[in-house]
Amino acid sequence: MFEAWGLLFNGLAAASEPSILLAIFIGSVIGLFIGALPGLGPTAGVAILLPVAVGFDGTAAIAALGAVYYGAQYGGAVTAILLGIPGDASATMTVIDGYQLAKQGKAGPALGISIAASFVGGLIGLLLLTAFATTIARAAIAFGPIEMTALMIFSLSLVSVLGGRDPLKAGVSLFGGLWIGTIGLDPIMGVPRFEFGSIYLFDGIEFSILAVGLFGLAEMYATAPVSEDETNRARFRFRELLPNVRETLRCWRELISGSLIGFFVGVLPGAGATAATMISYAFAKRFAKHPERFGKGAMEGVAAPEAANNSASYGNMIPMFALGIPGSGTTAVLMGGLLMIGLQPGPMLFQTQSTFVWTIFGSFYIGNLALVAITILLTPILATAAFVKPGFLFPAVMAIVMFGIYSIDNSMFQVLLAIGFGVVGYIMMKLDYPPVPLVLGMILGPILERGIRRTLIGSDGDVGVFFQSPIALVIFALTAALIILPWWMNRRARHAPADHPELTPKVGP
Amino acid sequence: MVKIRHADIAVSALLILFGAYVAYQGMGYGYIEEGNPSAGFFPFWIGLGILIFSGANLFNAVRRLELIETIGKAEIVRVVLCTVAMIAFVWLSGLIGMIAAGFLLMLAIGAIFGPRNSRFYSILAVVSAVMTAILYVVFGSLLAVPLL
Repeated sequence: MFEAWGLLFNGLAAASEPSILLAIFIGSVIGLFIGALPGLGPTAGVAILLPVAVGFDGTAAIAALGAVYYGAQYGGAVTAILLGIPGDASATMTVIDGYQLAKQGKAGPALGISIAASFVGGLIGLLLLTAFATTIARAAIAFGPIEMTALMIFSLSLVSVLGGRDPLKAGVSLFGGLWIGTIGLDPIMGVPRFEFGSIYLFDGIEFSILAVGLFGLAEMYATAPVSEDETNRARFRFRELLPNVRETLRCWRELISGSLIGFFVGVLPGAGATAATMISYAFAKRFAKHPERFGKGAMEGVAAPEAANNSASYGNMIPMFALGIPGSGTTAVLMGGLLMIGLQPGPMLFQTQSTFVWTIFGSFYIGNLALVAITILLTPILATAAFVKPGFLFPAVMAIVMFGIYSIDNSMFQVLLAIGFGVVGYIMMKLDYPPVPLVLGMILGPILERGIRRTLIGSDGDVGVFFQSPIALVIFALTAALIILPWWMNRRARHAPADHPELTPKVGP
Repeated sequence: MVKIRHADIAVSALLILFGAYVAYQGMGYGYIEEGNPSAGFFPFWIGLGILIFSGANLFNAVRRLELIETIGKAEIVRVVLCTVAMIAFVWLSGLIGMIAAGFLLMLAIGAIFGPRNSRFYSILAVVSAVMTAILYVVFGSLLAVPLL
């Protein structure tokens, strides 16, 4: 484990190059604004910038995209506190106490605690990422194709179960993604599949086209235009927005608990930062000296979810970097970025591209620190950015999307595909089909297919080979438990009111 | 106005057909050859998965009579207009070039999402012109993308 810290030191030095620093700065600022703007979350932001970023140098591109991700976590809190509008889903819990504090004239201390919590959460998340990523990657090197196949199946089932409110729709979404992953030439025999006679589909569908359509265009379609009188313009003086150190130190318990909960929930594929903020808020309230203050403007109610939010974003990166399994929509898009620059995330990445990995990790540390200053300086602008009308914002974003997609292959066919995925994404959003399983299916599907088919070819079609590895058996058992347990618990819950009539809510007068 | 429940039923029914098509097509690519899984092995199971999950979803959607949410007409019109504007951008790019088509796309999208007054349109024109210049510098010059 000590070796990791030495490598991190080298990574920090490499990430201090002017080009990487510039990428971190640009990514952080864009991320802050994306986080602050209602309607565009971190996944949409990273997806929209993906085709543009990969046009630049690989390391700088991923450093910038990573900065967009964690920058958005900082930005989401600003509008949540000042305006009561969560910039993204993971800032929803911050609204509860943050906005109450702002209404009581304590916007400055609330913003201060949110920035401090974001920094502490980010730092603890990064320290744990540094400590665990290499250890997990090293353990995963012992995994052969059978164990990796079992792991892929496990993570796909985890995401389909945790990825949305409706497991059936998550299942449709997952299989839809797996189908998209089969488009193009078959990886083993070279047979063209589902290319519909188009030469543009022989190489399959570029990941960023799907991501931009599903997350970028669909979110904009679903955003209603805002009329001028709907916005309640707020004005804050810069002095009022500066952090309060004493208030920050008073919340040390929530900062630590939120960071740890955030990280470990973030590691679980499919759970995500929003779940982490909810758990950390509930935990902080449960163990608070004055739980009755929560919901009425408690500093601890801002500290816990903000720390969890930022820590979870780094916890999310462990399965992506160490195992090649993206745990959330944003890390799936980031993983797509890695694949687009020719890198295969997973345990071997730490062996073959060690300099790249540690430079990126180094850039995360620098970005997390830089964001404290950038957020304080930009807070007044971020507060007004939330009022940028879709009529001005969306034309610019859609034009960037069109040009960015075209620049991948210099092909208008890809642009048409992205437009199509935008409509599909909109329909999915309206009908409650979660998009994350679809994206994961598309990314992991080809890897899973290669793993299954190569293993079966090696064993002359003997399926029993998958059950000869003890590690694979344990993973398969976990997968089965994961699928059966929620179904069994739902069934029990449905029958509970009948068995216990006192639990049935009384309806009527 | 479209009822979410009706849309859910229609999409599930279409997905059942689509799943059947994927499974059928998978068999066409070859399921097993010389005892080993062939090109259609994976698509067959994917098609079956889509079919089964969509079937269960259709069953649920039909039973969910309490679902009364709708999608407003204005929202559907907005999605259709945005899609048409972007397709027009693709078509126009071949005729007048991407830069000019991009400027027109921004005006169209702004008109769809913004208020209808002359002050908004004049600011939109300026914002679109500035953004067009930025796009030209970033994609045309910096990234050296051969723009149409």
